[in-house]
Amino acid sequence: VAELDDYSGPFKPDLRLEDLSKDFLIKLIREYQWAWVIMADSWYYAVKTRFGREAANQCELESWCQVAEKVNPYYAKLANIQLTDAVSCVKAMQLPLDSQLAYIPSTWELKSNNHIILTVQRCQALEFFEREDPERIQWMCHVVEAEAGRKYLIRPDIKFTPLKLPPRESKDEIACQWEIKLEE
Amino acid sequence: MPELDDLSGPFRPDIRFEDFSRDFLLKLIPVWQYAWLYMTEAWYDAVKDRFGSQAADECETQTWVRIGGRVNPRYAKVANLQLNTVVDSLKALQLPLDNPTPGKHILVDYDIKSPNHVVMTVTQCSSLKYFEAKQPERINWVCHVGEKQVLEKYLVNPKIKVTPLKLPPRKSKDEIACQWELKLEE
Repeated sequence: VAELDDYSGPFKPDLRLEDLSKDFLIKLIREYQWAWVIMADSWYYAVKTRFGREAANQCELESWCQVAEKVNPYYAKLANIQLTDAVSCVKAMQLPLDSQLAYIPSTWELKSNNHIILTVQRCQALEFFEREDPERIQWMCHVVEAEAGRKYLIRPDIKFTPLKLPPRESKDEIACQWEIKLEE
Repeated sequence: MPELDDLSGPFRPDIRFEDFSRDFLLKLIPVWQYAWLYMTEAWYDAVKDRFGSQAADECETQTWVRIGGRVNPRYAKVANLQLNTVVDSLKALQLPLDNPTPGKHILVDYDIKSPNHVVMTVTQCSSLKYFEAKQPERINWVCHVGEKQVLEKYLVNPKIKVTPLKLPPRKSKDEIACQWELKLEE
């Protein structure tokens, strides 16, 4: 059976993702990335509306850290990544739905296998906060990102240190910059 | 450059989904499905611990309804679906991360009486199994209150009437999880 490039044809009750072409899968994956962000955002505003920002912030931090701790090691296992140094842990950071893969364009400066500078050039979440809810920037970028980022690296002995964080003065500036370091 | 079946090789800062093999993408998606369900559970528990079950239930339903409204029409668009009939909308149900088939979180039978009249039977539902084992008090809200609202959004066509025919609790695990009539008046 030919792989499907879209689903304009007849309904298939037993459809599986294996029936879809790679191009179609990638289009769906981009929507999954969007869905992932909308889920977190929807929970955040459901809680904030009822119980206020502080409650929403605390629930958000707890949720992201729990998910990263529970789920992210599976990415390393699935992708056959041996977490022997900082750069291998960075590979594991490329696989979650909210990864740097397309969703958050970033550059990586490898000073050594255990010392990396991550520069996030564009961040859609930051752009949304700047436009709609600038009060969220402090908590999200300074607290959640620092805590969750550490969990995303999987190895607890890797240091994840902010070098530059929002707010920024102009949209021409980078979104944020982090040092990733494993003491040798 | 050959497609990657894993990430055991050198770090590639500029890697894209297009660089992965189809098989590797198909392995990644179930982990994202797991993350998707784990994320909502983590939020649910965080809210329940602070504000109780009722608050968590209400926030959860609001969240799923919003997701269904904002995200699911995009699946229809990328899949080039024309949403003219109920059967067309069944196709939209199959594409989200929490879809009825690929990850086997939910197994569904469809009795297509006509293009605009379908009886959908959920024969297996991993959420119901989890609730039965760990949190039976959640069944009433999720299955009786939340699911109908969410299903209406997930079908992407607001003209489709969604009616529950059978809902949990069930007396035995041999029973179906739930059954719904989906109808578009012609």
